[in-house]
Amino acid sequence: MMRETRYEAIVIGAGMSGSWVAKELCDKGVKTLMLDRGPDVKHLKDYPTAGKYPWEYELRGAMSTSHTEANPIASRCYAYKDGATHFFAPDDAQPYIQMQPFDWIKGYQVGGKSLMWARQTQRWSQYDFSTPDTNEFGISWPIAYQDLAPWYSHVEEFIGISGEQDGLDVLPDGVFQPPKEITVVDKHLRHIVKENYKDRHVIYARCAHLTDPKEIHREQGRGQCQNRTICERGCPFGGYFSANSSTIPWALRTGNLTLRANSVVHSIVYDEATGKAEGVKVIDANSKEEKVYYADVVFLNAGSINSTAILLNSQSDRYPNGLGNDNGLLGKYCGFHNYRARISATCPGFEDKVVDGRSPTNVYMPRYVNLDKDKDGFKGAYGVAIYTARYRKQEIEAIGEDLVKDLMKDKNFHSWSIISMMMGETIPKETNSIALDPKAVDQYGIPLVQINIGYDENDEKMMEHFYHEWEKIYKLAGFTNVERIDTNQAPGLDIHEMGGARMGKDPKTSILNANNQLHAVDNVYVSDGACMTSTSYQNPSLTYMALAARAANHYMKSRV
Amino acid sequence: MKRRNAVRSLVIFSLGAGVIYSCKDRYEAIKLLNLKHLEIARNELDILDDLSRMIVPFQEIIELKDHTALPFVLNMVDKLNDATDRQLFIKGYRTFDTETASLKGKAYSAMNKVEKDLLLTELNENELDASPALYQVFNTVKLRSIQYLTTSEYYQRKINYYEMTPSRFYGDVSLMDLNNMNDERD
Repeated sequence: MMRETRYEAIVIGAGMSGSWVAKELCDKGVKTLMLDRGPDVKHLKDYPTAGKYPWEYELRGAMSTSHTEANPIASRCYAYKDGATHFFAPDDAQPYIQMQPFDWIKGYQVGGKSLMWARQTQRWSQYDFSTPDTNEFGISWPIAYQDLAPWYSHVEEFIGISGEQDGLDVLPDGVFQPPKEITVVDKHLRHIVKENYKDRHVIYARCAHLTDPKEIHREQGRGQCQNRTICERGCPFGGYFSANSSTIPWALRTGNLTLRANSVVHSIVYDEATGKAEGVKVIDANSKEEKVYYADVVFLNAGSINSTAILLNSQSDRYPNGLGNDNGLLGKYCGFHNYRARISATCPGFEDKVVDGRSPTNVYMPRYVNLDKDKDGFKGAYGVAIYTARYRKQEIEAIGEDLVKDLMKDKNFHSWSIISMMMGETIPKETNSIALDPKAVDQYGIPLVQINIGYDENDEKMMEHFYHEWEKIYKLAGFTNVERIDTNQAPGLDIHEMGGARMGKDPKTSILNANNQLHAVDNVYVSDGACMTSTSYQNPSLTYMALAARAANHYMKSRV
Repeated sequence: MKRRNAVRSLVIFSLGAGVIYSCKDRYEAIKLLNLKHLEIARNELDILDDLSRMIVPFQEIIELKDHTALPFVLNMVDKLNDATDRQLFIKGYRTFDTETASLKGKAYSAMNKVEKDLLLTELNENELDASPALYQVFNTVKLRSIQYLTTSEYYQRKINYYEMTPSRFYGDVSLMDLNNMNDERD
């Protein structure tokens, strides 16, 4: 293996959190190498379907059975649509072993899943960081909300968040751009909840869309969200945040970033003499050639499962079970979000009202359970994503000329409908784990990942609580045809896999310290989902970005 | 943002021609689809095309007078239906004439418009004691023909007022206001 150019820092993974590390380091003059296993995706140039109209799709957006049969896992993702499939890794791109059913949704390209994420950006609160303590599970977070708050603001200002100042301690406010409109039924529900509950709030769901671009966004070359709602194809306006439209080109413009796509990371190379990581072993995705890149510091941001797997595969005489894995807990205490429970209804009383156009966001109810202790019959928190809509009728009873006349009418709408989805915290358990298969390897000779993650009784109890509470809310709102839904979906489809290398105060019970460094090897930082001590219930990307920016700046401080 | 600003800050996109099918080449268009699962004789194509026109006669809309939904219907069945539904559909179009002859004393192909209307009304109201295969053909042709119309560029632009860039969102609009806004958009 040849000794390649040396960099000061290597960032593994060019997605949501990795691109934030690269931006922060490059802004401060650090010569940085960023590696990604997938091909490059250039903003504007590599969004081939971004301008395609719905009627230009042969199957009008549906996926053929042959395609879904070849990709049963990716096909289950809500954003896996004709026009966006090229941003999802095909199921055979990286096989894995499901010890229990687990849908691992992957985006293997520069930018990662930041291209097709849901763009929901709610902060964690003091309650969320303290839930393991107050609800008595897992271990304590080594940081509190106050430690992350300035980094939330730092990220929010740069990426642009549309939101309202709600003044809630369960969901702290941030740096927001104006909200978009909400629907008439959203307003009704908000009113009903306000009238009947002191501790519950229907708010505009904060999202990473520019509604009033500032100078910092124009400097990035980004413009206002156009309400296209085809975000998962890539946005040529940069209307929503993606690494491709924002942090990566920003870092490249500093002249300090070297981006190497198609670079599959095999492991982090450990130097027994110094007790530090000295580089990263990479396999070229096309030529299969092996190379080692050297650096003073390594940031691991490959996504929760892959970051954990890379650490497990980074074996040496000192760390035979994976880098920094003295306590044997690497790969354990994984979590995800329970998205199984939904409740739907029709909403009478708004027959003379419709929506016009499309919105990229919705409304939301932050947590109202288990704030100070687990008094609600289960442990952990849940929030609720709420979707209201009124669709045009496609199922017309008539036939012939009457059918065509019905279809052409402006008033041909279904009733208003609502579906609310529980976003549930799961309790990290030692048995919910990731490991390397002792025998099977992938096309690069890297051990396959075994994923052993499942639901438990606590998840079921939380769902029952949600159903019960929301049946009451729907009744107060006058909604009818209320129906409980259990999607029975496997973990993973929430695309919020977390943990495996959790942060903690004690090296005996955690892998990372309060600054996202390996306890045992302090020039390795892990600041993606793998670091999460608990999961809370919010979409986690904003928290990953804030943790990543904080970790990069911790390195800069320690370097001085 | 006003439309001109949106367009100015946008790289040029291909508008594309859209997936549309013309009556004039409807059977040629079907050949080009390279259907994997459906083999359809000419007389069966005639029945299916006639059914689509009888159930959803959007050709009466002047802008769509040269369109046919048939290639779209068949393509969707070929690529989206599971094997069971597809086999039922195939059985249905292969036996459509013989079964309607048995039920009504006259094959569908031989019926006049009034007779076809009566038959299709009974099927639509689920009142005909016909086989599941016959119903599969009727329901599939109806569903997909409606979809062809409602997802067409004409319908999206003129009825739904679909705009890609910039688009819009108003969450609380009265139907009367919507009609007025749409009048202005025309």
